Amino acid sequence: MSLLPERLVIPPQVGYLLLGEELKILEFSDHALHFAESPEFLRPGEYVWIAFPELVGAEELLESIRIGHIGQYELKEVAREPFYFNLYASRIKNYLVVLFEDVTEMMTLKQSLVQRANEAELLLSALRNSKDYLDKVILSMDDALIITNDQGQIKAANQSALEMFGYGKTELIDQPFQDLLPPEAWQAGLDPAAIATQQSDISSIEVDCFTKQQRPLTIEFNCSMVLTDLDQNESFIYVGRNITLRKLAERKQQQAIARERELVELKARFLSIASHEFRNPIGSILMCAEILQSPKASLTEEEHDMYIGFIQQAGMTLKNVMEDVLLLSKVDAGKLKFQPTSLNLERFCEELIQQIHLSMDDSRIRIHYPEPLTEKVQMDGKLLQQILQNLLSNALKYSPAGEFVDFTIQPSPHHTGYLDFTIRDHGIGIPAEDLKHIFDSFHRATNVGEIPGTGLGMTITYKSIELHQGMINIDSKENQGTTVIVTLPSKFPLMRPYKSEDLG
Amino acid sequence: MAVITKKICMLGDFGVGKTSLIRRFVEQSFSDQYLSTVGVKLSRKSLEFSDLDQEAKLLIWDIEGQTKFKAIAASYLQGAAGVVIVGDVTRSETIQHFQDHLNLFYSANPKGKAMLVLNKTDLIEPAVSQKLEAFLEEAIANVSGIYQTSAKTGTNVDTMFERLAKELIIAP
Repeated sequence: MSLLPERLVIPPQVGYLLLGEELKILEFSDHALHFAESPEFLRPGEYVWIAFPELVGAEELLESIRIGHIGQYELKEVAREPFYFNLYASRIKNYLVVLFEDVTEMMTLKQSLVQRANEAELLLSALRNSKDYLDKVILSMDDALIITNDQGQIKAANQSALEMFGYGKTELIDQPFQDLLPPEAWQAGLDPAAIATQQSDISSIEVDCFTKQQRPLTIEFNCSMVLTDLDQNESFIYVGRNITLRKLAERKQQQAIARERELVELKARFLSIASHEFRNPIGSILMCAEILQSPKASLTEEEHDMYIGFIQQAGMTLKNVMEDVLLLSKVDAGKLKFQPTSLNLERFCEELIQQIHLSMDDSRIRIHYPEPLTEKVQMDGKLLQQILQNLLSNALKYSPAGEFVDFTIQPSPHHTGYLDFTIRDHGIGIPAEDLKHIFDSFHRATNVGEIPGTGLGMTITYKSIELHQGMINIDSKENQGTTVIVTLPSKFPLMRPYKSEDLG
Repeated sequence: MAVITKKICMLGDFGVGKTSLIRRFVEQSFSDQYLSTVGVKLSRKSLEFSDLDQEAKLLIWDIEGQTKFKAIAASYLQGAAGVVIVGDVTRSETIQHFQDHLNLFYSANPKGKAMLVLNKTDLIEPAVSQKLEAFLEEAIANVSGIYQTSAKTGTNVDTMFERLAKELIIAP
């Protein structure tokens, strides 16, 4: 006879237990045996948790329900292989009724659903991790990575690409990649159509382009095509390395090599000219000395003096070449300095002309002062001597006998505090092509013929004018003559020193 | 030798290795195959502590992992003396949920003991899991221990359960 009220009908598939004080078993249904962990302990008088260890820890709670302090208790989805059950405990009279509902079928279904959902979630998490990893790799790349579609529209670009070209992400995405590059580079193999026709990846295409801020950029591109599984569309991958600095270094190196080559050529030219310039006077000296020494020569006193004169002249020529070379090397080494001093210009020029007339045995220079000059000027006498001596001797040397050389000194009409030194001759003039190179070392005009010269005089003149913060202007016509105007400051300190660009 | 029975719950997100840790501890075995636990399943293991003259009968509740769709039922935690909160070192979000699991456990059992477990350490560099442990030490207070474990290799699994059992015996 059950202790349960008669009107309580418990379906046969639901197991039940009836517990009394201390949660000891009073009675149970056969079906409850299914759910017990140890069915042998499911017997009247035993503590319930021996057969149902799930109730360990809930003793106080269950006792409270039995004596009516708390309503009810439920524990759902408990596994007892191969079953699953829900457990409900509530009070009837002074007893605790524990009902067991078999939910195995529902839980089997749930397991398969949860399994799938969790597996999908794990896969998603793995994918996220993998994407995260790839993103980090791409982000840490120093090289630019640009992905386009087959139309050349940019679909993705990494941070390095944005920084390299100086654009923001939104400015690049969906824009034609072509717009970032010069047209010839696009046609040279970066066009997706060109990449698609290649069997293998395209590597090392060097492209000169500009950043958004118009800074020049040299990039070396490697390109390849990939087929994405998602939409079966082709993607084009461009990996670009910024080689601007490398190229710059290469260019500098090439320039240095060219400069070195130029120096070697200059040296060779110098040796060739110097040897030529030296050979003639040395030849003259040796020849004259031989004649003078020869007992057979039986020279007259006049002839004797003439040969001595030749030797002296040749010696002078040698001295001039040596002096020019030494002076130029001094200028090049930066040893020649601008040191203005107080100078009586008229006296200075007259002495200079006298000296030239004497040394060249030629007195065709006429000096003019259209306006009276101030007695003293502030100029560098050494530099001024170099400048005027070279220009005046050239004027004499390259104009035929009988033609005067006019030397005019007057204040510059264009620059206050400056003097114009104008030297005009009616000589052979300078061909236009040679005029461009007139200040280059060892350059000699094509029309000089046998007239001796080192090709250094004008270089020295130019550098001296530059040091003296002045300007030079040359106007020349072949076979008609040359006019050189040198404009030099005569008062120091000047308000505005002229820069070397003003020269010429 | 006195015998004491204690209920321990395993808490954590799904797929962190709660079932695998129990299997390693109780059966000394491991399977790479993922089988999601639904509901709750009880396992038993007894540990003898001769130094304390005690035997601990552990009732370990393997509770269905938390997912976005389903929270952990609080009724499972009723009367638990200890909790093992498990995270997967390869999924940082599972470790970020530690504090929530701990709060849930302490709200049901304010005097309970908790262990934090960083599982699957065989999959990452030791230095990385070391960093995670240091982070947890800073971030989470009021736990009995933090362990780096691997159910696959067995690293620290027994040590962690034994430590928890001892804690439960000493401070019942």
